[in-house]
Amino acid sequence: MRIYSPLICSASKLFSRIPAKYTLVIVILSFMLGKFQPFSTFPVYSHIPATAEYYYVTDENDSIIPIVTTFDFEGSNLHKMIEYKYLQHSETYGDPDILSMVGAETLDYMFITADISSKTVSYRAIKIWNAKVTMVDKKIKVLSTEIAVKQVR
Amino acid sequence: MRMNLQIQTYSFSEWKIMRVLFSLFWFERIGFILYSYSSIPVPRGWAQFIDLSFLTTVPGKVIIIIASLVCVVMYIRNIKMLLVTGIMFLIGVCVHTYQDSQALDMYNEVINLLILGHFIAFAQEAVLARNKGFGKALDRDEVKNLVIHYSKQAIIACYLVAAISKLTDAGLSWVVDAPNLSVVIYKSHMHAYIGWLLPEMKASGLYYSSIIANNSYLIQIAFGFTLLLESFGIIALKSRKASVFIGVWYVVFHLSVAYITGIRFDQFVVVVIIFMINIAYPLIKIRELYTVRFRAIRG
Repeated sequence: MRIYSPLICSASKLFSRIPAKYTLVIVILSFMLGKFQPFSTFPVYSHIPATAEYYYVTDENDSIIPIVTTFDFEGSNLHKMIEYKYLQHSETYGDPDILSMVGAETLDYMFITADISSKTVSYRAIKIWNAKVTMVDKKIKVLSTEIAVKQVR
Repeated sequence: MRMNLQIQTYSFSEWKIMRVLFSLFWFERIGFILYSYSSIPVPRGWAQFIDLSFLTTVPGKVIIIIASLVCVVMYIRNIKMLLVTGIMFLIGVCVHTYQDSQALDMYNEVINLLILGHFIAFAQEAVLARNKGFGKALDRDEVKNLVIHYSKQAIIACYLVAAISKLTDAGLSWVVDAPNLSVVIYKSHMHAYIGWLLPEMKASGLYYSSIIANNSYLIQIAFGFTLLLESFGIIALKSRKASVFIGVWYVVFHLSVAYITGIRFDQFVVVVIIFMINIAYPLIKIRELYTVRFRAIRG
């Protein structure tokens, strides 16, 4: 199929003179589209705040449950899952009520995918905790808050 | 001063080794993703508009694996490259979106952008062959060099986008705030700790975060250097040597980050080694050396 026309031809020749044009197009489209394969703004640690946070799971006695062996996903997955679920409710991160609701949704999902019941695990309840990490006088300080709990039936 | 970013020349042997290494890596990633996950907990990107649930089923996974295998064989043998790279791109976009929807940020975009670069080069060849008004048709040699050129541009673009993100999100305070990395490192080690309940992960998190807290100037210098490296990766297009030089720095940077923080970006390391450092070149030289020695011994 021939698609030649003088206007397209001139535009094509002009475009061919731009150095590293593929790089340029990727950069422009990445910032226009955001996280849509094959584009991304690669925001990994683009902002390094003074406080970091992570989430973990415990039983009714607040003993940590290893989530890889129990729920078959990594610690970072739990964090991202809560973060993305949160962003579906609000764009400003940190509201404790929304966090609690998202925590409950996450526990529901975890119970279904890992088939959690009194027959499969020995825990009576499973809790999700939020841990905030700061550096004070060159020492790590961690502040943990319970965000959701679900009884095992 | 005008920088001459011309297309570098590579041999067919180098291009063949690049194809073999890259396609095997691509196939391993696709296979690993399909094997590892069986649900879509957080639909992201295209998964919000397109139903990717077929990737959670065994027949869906098997079809994609077979299609990927056929593509890899054709890609290595350099057959119907426009069609093959187009299909590889579509498979990559679907499967990597599926992985992103596991609430993971793996940044596999670089792999798909690289294949898209291949596809554009082969499309350019097809268009120029049929429409003389756009310019001279490309021969096989030129197409191969253009594919590698676009591949390098894709990698460089990802680093440049990352640098711009840092500058737009945090500005130059990204370098000043570098010592905050200590809490981030502790967090990433705690992710490993809560996953497996390994006490040594908690201990190493405390160890590395204290190293950073006690060497804040050194960390700021390293961050400043990283930002420069990401921003001016385009220099790699100047010559083959420049490409190797920048590529080696990228790999050193990733290995250092992986060692200290445990955060790995294997996909970047692999594509940089294949297309920028060009591991094919020393492999070919070693083979030539052995061939010459073997002939000399045989007389």
